[in-house]
Amino acid sequence: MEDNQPIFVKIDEYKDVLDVISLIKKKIGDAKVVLGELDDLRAQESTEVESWKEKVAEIETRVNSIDATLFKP
Amino acid sequence: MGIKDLLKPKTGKVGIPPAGNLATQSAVPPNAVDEPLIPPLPSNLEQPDIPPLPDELQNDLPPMPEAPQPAAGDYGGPQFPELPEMPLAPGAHDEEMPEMGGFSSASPDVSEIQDLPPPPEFEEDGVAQPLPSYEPVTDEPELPPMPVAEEEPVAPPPVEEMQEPVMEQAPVQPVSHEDDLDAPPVPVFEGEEDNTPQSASENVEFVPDKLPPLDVEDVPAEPYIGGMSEAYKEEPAKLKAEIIEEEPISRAIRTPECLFVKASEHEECIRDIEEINILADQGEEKSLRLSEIKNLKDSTFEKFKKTMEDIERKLVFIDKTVFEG
Repeated sequence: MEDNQPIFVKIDEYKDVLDVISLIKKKIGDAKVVLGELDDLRAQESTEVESWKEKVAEIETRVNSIDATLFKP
Repeated sequence: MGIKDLLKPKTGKVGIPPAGNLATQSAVPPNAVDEPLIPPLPSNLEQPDIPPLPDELQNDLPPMPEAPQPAAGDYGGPQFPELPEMPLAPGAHDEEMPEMGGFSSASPDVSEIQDLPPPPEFEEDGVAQPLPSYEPVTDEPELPPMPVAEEEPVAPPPVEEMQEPVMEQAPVQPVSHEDDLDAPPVPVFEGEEDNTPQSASENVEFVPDKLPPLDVEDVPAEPYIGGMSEAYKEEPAKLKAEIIEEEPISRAIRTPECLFVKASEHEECIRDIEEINILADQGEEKSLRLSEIKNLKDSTFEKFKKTMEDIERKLVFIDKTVFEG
């Protein structure tokens, strides 16, 4: 055999390997979808938190108003 | 300067310096100045101790020639024969160059010139000389009036607008130079038909628009199996599949049963798998970290929820105490 000839490695049952690779590709797609859903949930959570911040500020304003009306001349 | 002068040795510049100066001129250390490099000449140099010749040899020697007397001012060396005069170069002239006209090196004698006017007398410095008075000339004759042009300017003739030339299509003439040639017609030999085209137009008529279909028998399509052994020729279908699969031979060869991957590609695949395992491990760590963050967030939310419930209860208490009591 000449030195410049390429050396090949024989892989038996390579079709099973191809099936597993296709399954891994599908799982990677599912993981991408889940990560996208997590992004959406995080955005909704941020929106809710901002809403709660505004409500707590409004409660504080009203409590201060009651305090000023009842207990301060 | 003559040639003899040029041949004289020039002391101090060219030639052998005297023995006394050699020690001072050579590059020797200062402490060696008193020791000359050249040993002193023997004292009896002019009268060396040479034994006289025997009488027998003295009788055989020819008489000594008289030494030539050195000329006055000569250095006393051997006399050189006088060299002939240098011949004139071709084209050179012995005549002297004529003097340039119009120029004279000697200045003329001013005393000999009698026709010169006396020089003017200059006034003292600082005194301005009055300028001569200017009298305007009033006796000039009046000029006649300018004639007025009665004729109107002639308008240039109108120029007709040029129209763009329209290129006409040149008439197509058949390419035939048959009439231009006065050559006699080609003779027709007996037993041979004259199939040569007479003109280009006749030549076009013989060219069909489409080529007729080839009359070839139906040959079954088989893969190229030239150059292969007889064993491969027995299974042409299988061989065709293998040839198609072997085209990308640079990376892998795929057969129905197994796959042959280049060794370098196989190593690269193994490295990729190892890196994927490392990334998967990192993904697990990230997942755990996300779970911790989620638990912390849940506890914080619960605390926030309790706080809001306390606020609500206290507001209810205030409402009952202030407005219902």
